[in-house]
Amino acid sequence: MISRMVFTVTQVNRYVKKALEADALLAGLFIEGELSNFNAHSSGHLYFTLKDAGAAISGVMFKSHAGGLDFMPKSGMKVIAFGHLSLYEKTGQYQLYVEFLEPAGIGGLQLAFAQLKEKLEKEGLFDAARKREIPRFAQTIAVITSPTGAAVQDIIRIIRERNPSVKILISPAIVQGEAAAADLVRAVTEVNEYGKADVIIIGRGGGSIEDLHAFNDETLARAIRASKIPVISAVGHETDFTIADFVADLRAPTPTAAAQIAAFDLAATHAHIDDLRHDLSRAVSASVQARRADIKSHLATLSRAMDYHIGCFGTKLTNLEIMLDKVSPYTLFKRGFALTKITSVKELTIGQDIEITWADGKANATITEIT
Amino acid sequence: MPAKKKISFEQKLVNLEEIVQQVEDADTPLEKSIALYKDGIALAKDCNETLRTYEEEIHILQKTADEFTLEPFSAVR
Repeated sequence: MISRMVFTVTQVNRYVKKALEADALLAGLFIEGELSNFNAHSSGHLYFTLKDAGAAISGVMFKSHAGGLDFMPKSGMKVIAFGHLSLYEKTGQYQLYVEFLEPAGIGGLQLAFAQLKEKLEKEGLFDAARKREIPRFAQTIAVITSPTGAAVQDIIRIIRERNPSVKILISPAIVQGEAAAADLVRAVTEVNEYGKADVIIIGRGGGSIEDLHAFNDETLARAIRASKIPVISAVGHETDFTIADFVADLRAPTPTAAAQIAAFDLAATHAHIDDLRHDLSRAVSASVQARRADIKSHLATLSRAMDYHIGCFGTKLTNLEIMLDKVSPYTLFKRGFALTKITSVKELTIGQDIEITWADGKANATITEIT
Repeated sequence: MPAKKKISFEQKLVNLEEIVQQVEDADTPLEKSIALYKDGIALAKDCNETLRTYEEEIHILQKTADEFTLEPFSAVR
């Protein structure tokens, strides 16, 4: 009888697991493939299948590693995973325990940028309605940047050129490297706590996409949105766009441009006030002139009206005179009539003496005939 | 007028611009125009004075413990 060794399932799986884990290559390797059946479990662990055209491997990425991802993996995404192969004893399935994952093709930073941008955009953090107006006449400009960089010097120089009397408050911050994002958040918070600034410029000079990466940080984006003081972003060159640029109240293409926007032109403002004062004087004297002209014109109208009325009265009077003249006895005298005070021929007798009156005298007459 | 102090420079300038417009409007009664003119001249003076009170300072803002301190910028440079 052939002696047999009988193993339990557990023993076999454990044996295979050990064999797998003893292999030098399988202990740490990069595998490129496409993610499918991706599942981000509520525990924080990520479960997925890594496959190519002809094969598939189960994969898991535990929370401790998944937390370090700067992008959110999705089914269909091409990735390069680093990890080790082992066996999951419970199912006898071997799987890839992933420690590090990066998108294949486009860089991880770029993808993280695109994903964060989409997420914050959906949340409405970039909405135009949420953008505050940059004050036209800031008295104090807070500048969050490196105190030793070229950007701070450019900003100060431009502010001073435009306005020698505006207050500049520099809030120094680390602008690149691991600590930068958190430090920028601290600075934004502190300037808000301090409160005595009308506008904030946050930025740095140009650099590589990695150098500007702190300005793509989600916490910083939220801190900028939460700022009570309006924020102008000024990161790198004109062609650089960061998350900070999208979330800020205004994106300036460069630190120099930010300074031009934040600081009002003092000389131009004085000139504007002077212009307004002249306009005002001109307007008020024009107004007085106009009223004088009005009075003159009213007077003329009044006087014309009076003349007309007086003229009318004169005509009326003349007419009355004429009428009066017509009925006056003197007019009748002129036409040869004379006054006898006798109203009918019947009052007369032959031989009677009567008195006849003319305009210039009287005469006595005797009636000799009555017809 | 104690409330006057609270008006921002920007608002003052806007007020001045509006006064000019009103005075330029031929429909504004003369007495009102003259009153506005007086206000406007005072406002223009006020604006220019406000600009003069702006301070020339560059400071480094620093927070130590719970206190803010302002250091002259040149000292840090």
